[in-house]
Amino acid sequence: MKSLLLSEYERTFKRKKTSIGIGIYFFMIVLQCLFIYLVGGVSFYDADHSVQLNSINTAPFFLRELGLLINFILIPMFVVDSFNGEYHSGALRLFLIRPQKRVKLFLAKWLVQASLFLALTFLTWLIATIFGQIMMPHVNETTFLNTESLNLFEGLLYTLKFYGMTYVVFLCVIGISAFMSIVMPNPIMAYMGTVACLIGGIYISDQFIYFIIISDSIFNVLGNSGQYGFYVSLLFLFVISHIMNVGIWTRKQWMG
Amino acid sequence: MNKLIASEWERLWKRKAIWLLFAAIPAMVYAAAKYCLHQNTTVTLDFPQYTVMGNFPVLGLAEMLMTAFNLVVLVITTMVVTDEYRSGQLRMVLIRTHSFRQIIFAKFFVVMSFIFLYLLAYFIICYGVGSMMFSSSETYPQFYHQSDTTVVEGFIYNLKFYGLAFLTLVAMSSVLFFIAIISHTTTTTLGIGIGFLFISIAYPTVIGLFGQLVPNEILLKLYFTSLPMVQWQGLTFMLAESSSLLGWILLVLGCYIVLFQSLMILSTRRKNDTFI
Repeated sequence: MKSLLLSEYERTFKRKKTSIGIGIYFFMIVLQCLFIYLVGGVSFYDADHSVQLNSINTAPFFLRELGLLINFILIPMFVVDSFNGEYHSGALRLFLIRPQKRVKLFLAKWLVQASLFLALTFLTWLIATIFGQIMMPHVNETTFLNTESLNLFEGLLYTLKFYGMTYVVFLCVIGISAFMSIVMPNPIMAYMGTVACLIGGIYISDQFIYFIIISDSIFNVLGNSGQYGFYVSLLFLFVISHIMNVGIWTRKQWMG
Repeated sequence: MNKLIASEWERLWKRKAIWLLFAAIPAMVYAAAKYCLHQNTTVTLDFPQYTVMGNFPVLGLAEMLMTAFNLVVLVITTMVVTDEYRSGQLRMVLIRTHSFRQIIFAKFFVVMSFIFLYLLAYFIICYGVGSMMFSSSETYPQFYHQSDTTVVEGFIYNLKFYGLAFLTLVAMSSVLFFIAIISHTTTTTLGIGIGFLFISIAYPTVIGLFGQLVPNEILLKLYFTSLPMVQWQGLTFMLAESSSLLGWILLVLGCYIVLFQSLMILSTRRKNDTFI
């Protein structure tokens, strides 16, 4: 398993687009800092609630725009390349000749993608928090949407919880993208299928708006009680997509 | 060259995805109609945003042009350029006495023909669905026009609107073709393409935030340097009775087309890696 993981990491970073994509992402974080600084630290909980940023509450607002970049560009690109591109181009044949369990192969791929986006999410939180502490007006306590007043430590906990939930949404997108990669014949269809799912979800239920405006939905969930639809739909999506992925992946006819 | 175009045309229709995209038109029109019906509950009859049968082709396209149509162009471009070029299918065509550049421009012509047909089909289906789902009135208000238009005048307006929409898609295709030629894998093309769309939608919004600093006229002109914004709102501005923006937006579209066609010519010059 360890060597499988290592090989997967190595191949992921051998693709130039991985490092370039991550590089562009960090460049976007810098742009986001600049943008927030230029507009004087005003952002939005949602369309009708604007908010003045301060040293504690800055971090979540980075995901308003960066979430789109991750959901629609980085995740589909990396996951489709890993789950479909390698199979499509025939690169997977070379290690299908080894007696590896298919499940292990899937698990290795999944772990690599999940850990990659965990690292990105965590680093975004870190940079955003540091930026908020240094550049934004200093306060001792602050509130978020419909919360009582939080001090520095509680505020940090809130932002961590926020980023944790964002990460769960990212995991769901990874699940959907992997599913599309497994059932679709080529990378183009897999990528477009993923995008169609993320956008088409809104037509099915308004609940799925969190794929598009991720921060507004999570503020809403953390601020108002009784938002079970969010948790239930996420859990449902996560479990179903991963069960189907493993099921189809292991039963797929690889050879001829 | 004619034979090359004929062969490209044939190979385009060999793909299942192309037929699927065509089959998706009724679904797209239906989704647009649902949205327009929802909009009708918020505006009254004397607003141009109120959908009747006569203006449904325009209102039903405005939302879709910026999103679905751009994605359709992106998918086709990725399939016929990046996928064929990088997977080695193009070698069969390159055996003949055509240069890589000729093949790319034949492809561009074929994709443009496809988009033209696609818009035409959308237009006809819009009239069909519009007559079923919306009330038809003799006259209705038109965007940026003083007096109401009749159904016949509206038809001419709709035709102009679709013509300009086609022009924006030509500009968009030029950009995406260039991206497709320089990308090494299909996922890169799709990623950069969607990134281009996002950025084009995002920067006018950012410009809007700094609206107090610059006079309104310049702001509008900057706003309409972005292709998706032209597709979304610029087309009605162009067809207004007294349009100050028509020349400007045509200039912007012309610049996009000239710049990216030149980049296509540059990027398809004789290279040694065609056969690697």
